[in-house]
Amino acid sequence: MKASLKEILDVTTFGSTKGTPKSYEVLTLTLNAVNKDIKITALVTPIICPPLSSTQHTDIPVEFKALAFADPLNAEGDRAIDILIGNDHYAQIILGNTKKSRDERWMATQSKFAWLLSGPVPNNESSAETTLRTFCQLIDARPTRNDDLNETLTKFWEINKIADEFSDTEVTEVQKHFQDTIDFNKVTGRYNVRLPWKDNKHSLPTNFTLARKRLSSLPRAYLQIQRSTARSTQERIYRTSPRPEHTSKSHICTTYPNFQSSKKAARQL
Amino acid sequence: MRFVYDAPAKISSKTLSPNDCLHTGPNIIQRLQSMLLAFRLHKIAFTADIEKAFLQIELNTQGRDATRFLWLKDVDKSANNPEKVIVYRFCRVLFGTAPSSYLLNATIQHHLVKQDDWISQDVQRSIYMDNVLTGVETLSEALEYYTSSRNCFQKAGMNLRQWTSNSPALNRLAHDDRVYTEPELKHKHRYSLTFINKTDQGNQQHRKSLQKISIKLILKSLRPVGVCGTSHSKSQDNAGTMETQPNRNKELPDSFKENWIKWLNELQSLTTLEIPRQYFNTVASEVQLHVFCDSS
Repeated sequence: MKASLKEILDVTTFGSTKGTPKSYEVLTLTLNAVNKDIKITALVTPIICPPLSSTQHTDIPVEFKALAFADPLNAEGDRAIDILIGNDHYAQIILGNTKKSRDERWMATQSKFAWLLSGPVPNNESSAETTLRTFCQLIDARPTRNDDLNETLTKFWEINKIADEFSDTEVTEVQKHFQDTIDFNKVTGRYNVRLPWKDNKHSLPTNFTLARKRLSSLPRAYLQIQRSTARSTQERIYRTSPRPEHTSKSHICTTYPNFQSSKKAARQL
Repeated sequence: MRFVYDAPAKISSKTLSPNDCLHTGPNIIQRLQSMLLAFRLHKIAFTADIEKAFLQIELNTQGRDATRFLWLKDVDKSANNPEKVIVYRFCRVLFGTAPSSYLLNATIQHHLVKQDDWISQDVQRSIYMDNVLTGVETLSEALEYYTSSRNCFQKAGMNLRQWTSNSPALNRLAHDDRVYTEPELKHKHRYSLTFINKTDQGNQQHRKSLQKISIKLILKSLRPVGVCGTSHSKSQDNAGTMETQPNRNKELPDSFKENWIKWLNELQSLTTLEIPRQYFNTVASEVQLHVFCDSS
């Protein structure tokens, strides 16, 4: 990532009143949240704070276990802070839903990065002291320097995804329906399957009139194809080996047996 | 001739078509590129297909009312006379509905997964709709593959036929069972992979050295660039010479003409160039893959 500009800030830390001027590089970042990306401007500093201790052995209330958290709660080891998001983006990130534990010591807040959990964590040195922390460390971020380019690139990569245009639920439903209904007919020695109908099948109208209309115009259309095929076949034959006895009729008849064979697959109603 | 039933047909733009009421199903078809790449790996290669694959799968009685179609008793009589029209129902999977290909692929996969042998496993990877495209290393394996895969599909009421191979023994066996098919000229590329099309030799206008024709010819022969690299670089040289000419309709210098005719003659020899289907004729102990790419 490349810095866009530099900025000098007066830094006043906890417990002091006087600020010290410090120079920071400024860059813009895009946080990949669910559904929508969030653009933030950030200052670059070598360290934000010491790594957070693991939450692995923390007693998380049972009622929160089922929530999808932005971070895995049982991850091992300490985790370093990479991005500290200012309160000016609070409304952009927090969705508003909250859940409190029964003893009111813990609270989960829904954000665009999934649920965030706040509560007391035993301190490393003495377990009697506790600190309040909000757990959300793993955020996917990427540099934003050129908005248009980013959008184009995102769109470009999305093109690759078009192949699986089916929603997961449809896929599993259709596959499940297939697996549940496929049957082997021992009498005929063939598999027996069902069409995967959607729920709207009852509003499918009959198209008998349309079918009949098409059927009545078919012989005429067929004759036309017959004539044009005959012409091209004849031309081809005459060019390679002129055989006058090869009339158009005998040639076109070869398509009729196909009608017969496809009839075998059908049964009269 | 193949009949495709018009399942997207609707009686008006506001109503539903049969396809609107059917799920397409997931795309579980094999990737063609991988199949073609794998096809060049084997010593003995063969292809076969399932005869009328769709029509070998029964359609459950429940759905058949939606697969009705009309049949004219007498072609010379009008379809408007109800007595002359017979209504049939499809009792097999028909071609043309949205889920047709899924139903075929899923049925074949379902059948193959149930068998538990290396040949069925290989067929799973080497089947594209109703076409099997694969190979093995030895003749005994090929003959086993032939018998076993035919039996396997027979169990599903399907006939695996139209066998073609580069092994004469396998061809003979298939021929005796009447399931052999002569490789047509258009299928020749499966075995010899002839990449080069004949360059337009009848075109004698190059004597006029008109640049337009030259450019056209160069573009034509650029397609198989990866294979005939030297010829390609020469054609680029020629193209470079042309770019230095300010007037596109003017005759080119004699020095160019000489090079050009020389290159044209070389092009003729390219038509005999053949690339063997098999990548490695001898089984090497180690294979190295070198990949180059260009992002332009």
